[in-house]
Amino acid sequence: MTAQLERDRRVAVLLPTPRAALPPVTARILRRTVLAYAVVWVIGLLPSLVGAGDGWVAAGLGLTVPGGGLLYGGHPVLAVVAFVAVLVSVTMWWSMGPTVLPPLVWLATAALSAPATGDGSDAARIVVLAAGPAVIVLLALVHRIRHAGHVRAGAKINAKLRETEFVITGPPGIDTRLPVAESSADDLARLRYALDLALQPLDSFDGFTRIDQFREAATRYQLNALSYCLSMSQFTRTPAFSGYLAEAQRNAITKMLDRRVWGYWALENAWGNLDFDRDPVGCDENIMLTGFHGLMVGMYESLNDDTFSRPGALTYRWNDRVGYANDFGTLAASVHRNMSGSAFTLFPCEPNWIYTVCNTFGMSTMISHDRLHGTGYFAELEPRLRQAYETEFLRPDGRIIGVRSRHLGLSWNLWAGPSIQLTTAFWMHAALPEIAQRTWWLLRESALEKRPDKVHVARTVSARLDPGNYTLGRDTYGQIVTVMAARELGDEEWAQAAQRTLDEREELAESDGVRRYAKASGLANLYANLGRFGRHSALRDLVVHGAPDAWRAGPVLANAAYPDVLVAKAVTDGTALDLVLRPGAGPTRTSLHLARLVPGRTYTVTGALTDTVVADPQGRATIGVDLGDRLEVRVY
Amino acid sequence: MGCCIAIALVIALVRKAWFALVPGGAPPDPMFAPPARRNADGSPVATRVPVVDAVAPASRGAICLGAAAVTTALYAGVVAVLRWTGAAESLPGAAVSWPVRDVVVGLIGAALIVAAAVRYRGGRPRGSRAPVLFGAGAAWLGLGVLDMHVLGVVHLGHSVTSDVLFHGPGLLAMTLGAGAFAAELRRQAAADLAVVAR
Repeated sequence: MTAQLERDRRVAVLLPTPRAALPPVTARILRRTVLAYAVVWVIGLLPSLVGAGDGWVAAGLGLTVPGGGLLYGGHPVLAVVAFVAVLVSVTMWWSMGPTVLPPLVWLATAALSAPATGDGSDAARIVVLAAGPAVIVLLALVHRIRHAGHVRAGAKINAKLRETEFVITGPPGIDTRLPVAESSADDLARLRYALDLALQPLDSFDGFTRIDQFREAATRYQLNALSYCLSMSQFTRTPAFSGYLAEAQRNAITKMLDRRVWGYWALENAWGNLDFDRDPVGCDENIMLTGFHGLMVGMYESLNDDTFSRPGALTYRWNDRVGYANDFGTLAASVHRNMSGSAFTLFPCEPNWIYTVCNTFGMSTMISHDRLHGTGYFAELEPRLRQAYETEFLRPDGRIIGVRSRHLGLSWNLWAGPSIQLTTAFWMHAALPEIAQRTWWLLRESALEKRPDKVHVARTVSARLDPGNYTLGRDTYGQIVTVMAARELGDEEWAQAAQRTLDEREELAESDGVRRYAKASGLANLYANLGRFGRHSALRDLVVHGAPDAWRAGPVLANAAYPDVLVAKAVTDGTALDLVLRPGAGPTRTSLHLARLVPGRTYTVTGALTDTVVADPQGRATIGVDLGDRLEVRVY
Repeated sequence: MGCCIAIALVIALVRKAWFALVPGGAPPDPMFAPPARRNADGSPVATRVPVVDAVAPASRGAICLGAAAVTTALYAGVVAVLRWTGAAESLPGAAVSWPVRDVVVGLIGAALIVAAAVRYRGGRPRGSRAPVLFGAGAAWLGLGVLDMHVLGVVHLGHSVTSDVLFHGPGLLAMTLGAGAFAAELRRQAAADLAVVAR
């Protein structure tokens, strides 16, 4: 433990003091946006200046403000309808990426105002022409006022942060943070929920939520969470068991290649970029696929094998003739290329929209690839990424800005509750642990409360949202991500309090020994598993440091029957194999297939039907067990 | 994932309002995947229970209404362009003013979208050509008759040719749709007969 403490660092992490009201890249792009609007405004003004007919004047005014031409023509109700139509189109753009939609709708409302115009009102003309510039000035003023408030809040927070030390964990020793825990019967029942989802045929998606393929309920996010929680359970509970647990991770990774899962990109690229190339990786956006899928592979490969690093192993197939051949390396290279080429360093998910949390997955993809394949992607970009997260995507009061428009520079935090900050803190811990620790600390200071042994999440509408199925109810999802973040960031007391809150109030659903929260989405249940199987710095250890050599070289339980044999613990010190097994389908006599033994060596076995076993020339052996209840098996 | 809670919240509110208005409520979230099984050697055990897709194929009615809704939007755009260019005249003695007419057409479009969405049950049915043609044609023809002969807000001059050119595409699409539907019925009847014969 002493060696471990030496590897950890204790640091103070202050909030950066901004030099201006807007960070540099954002300011440049916002200036460009305002200039572009000014050009449109002048074009809209021209018909009025040259004394063109009312139709032209109305169309021009419709360009300066959505619905402006209709207001000028004496149709205030239609003007409001036009304005709302443009707002709806912006929301659609935000949610699904059709960049062309807002300008098209705006242009259409302007065009439609031309024939609908009656006798134009000069008063309306002045109001319409003044409205756009007035809104810009107003927004700038509001931003200045809010920014000043955030700066003052940041200064107060920094006074506390100077007195606060965060622990940045270093490489774990096999005897320190890495001791492998044993899953309880409840843990195993929850794990089976994920296993059943993943072990169905590759072309089946039974049990997945199916609402849309664009937003949070999309199948890909469920597959991501599925793979992450399975990997995490392997890392912290059963690193010496591959079998159906590794197969389940492979299945989740392979299901991502199904066109039904990634085909959304063809649409988004077409209506977002007017680009009919369907390639989901060879583009400068879509980190919501490349970053997330890359991390699935990174976690799998850290614990198992390099199946997905082989050329073409990740081929996104459109049809029998068209496929986009990729592998772990091309995904990581894509993330690196796009971050290198982005003015913000972070790059978009949907066309135009940059999400801070999604880019944390891209960072982890690069880090795990660097470790496994010797590239230097993350090290090269780390200063820029840190700068971006600390300036372009951070308010002076420490709140992470969740989304920013690449084209316009705009961002907003409407209704954003703590869930997204918690999620970001969790996923950021691998790459930028200082910011993750500070974010968690800020959340504890402001948005979360422990009373006395339960967690109370700030009462916001968004805190009651389950993004996995877009339902509003209790703060279940918020509690789940609190478990994830608290446990990962080393605040086990908070993690247990949030878990207790869930345990005491959430209704359970159970079927054939499989258990989940009944009233939470599939996505929320999978993240609940990720939190359940986590531990202090588990994500960071897995992504940054990987599995120790002893785990990658020592004997493993290669196969066991499912669900007859549930593996509660499987660990090796490089020589011996220690297993804890539980029956999943009643008492049974079954066999366990071992691998990575020393060929020809005789091993002593305890807990099985035989006392010794001899490894075959391939280092494999099979032993029988009678499994009626919890059973410890040792092979050494 | 929860990358943008705000937009998910917007979707949640829209869905909540939608399911409050539309009979049937929100579809249930699936609970569990079919139980998986593996042999001790890792090979799969064939235990897959065929899961009947809870989502029935889309009804032809939904497709037909959807096509009519899209055509309504197209029609509104075409008439606006015709008026702007002067090819169509606004009649001074029309029964209603243009803004009222625009609202009427907008309401028709919205009603068609709602009706299509209510009837939609997911999936894409085979043979969607007939309902698309029929729905689009009926919408075009109906809106044209409404504008020219009921509300009297559009006039395309005195030429029979211009009337035919304006109403004709709708009539033609309806006829083709009805023909395609009849042909599908014939093919289905022939297939049923073949099954009976076997």
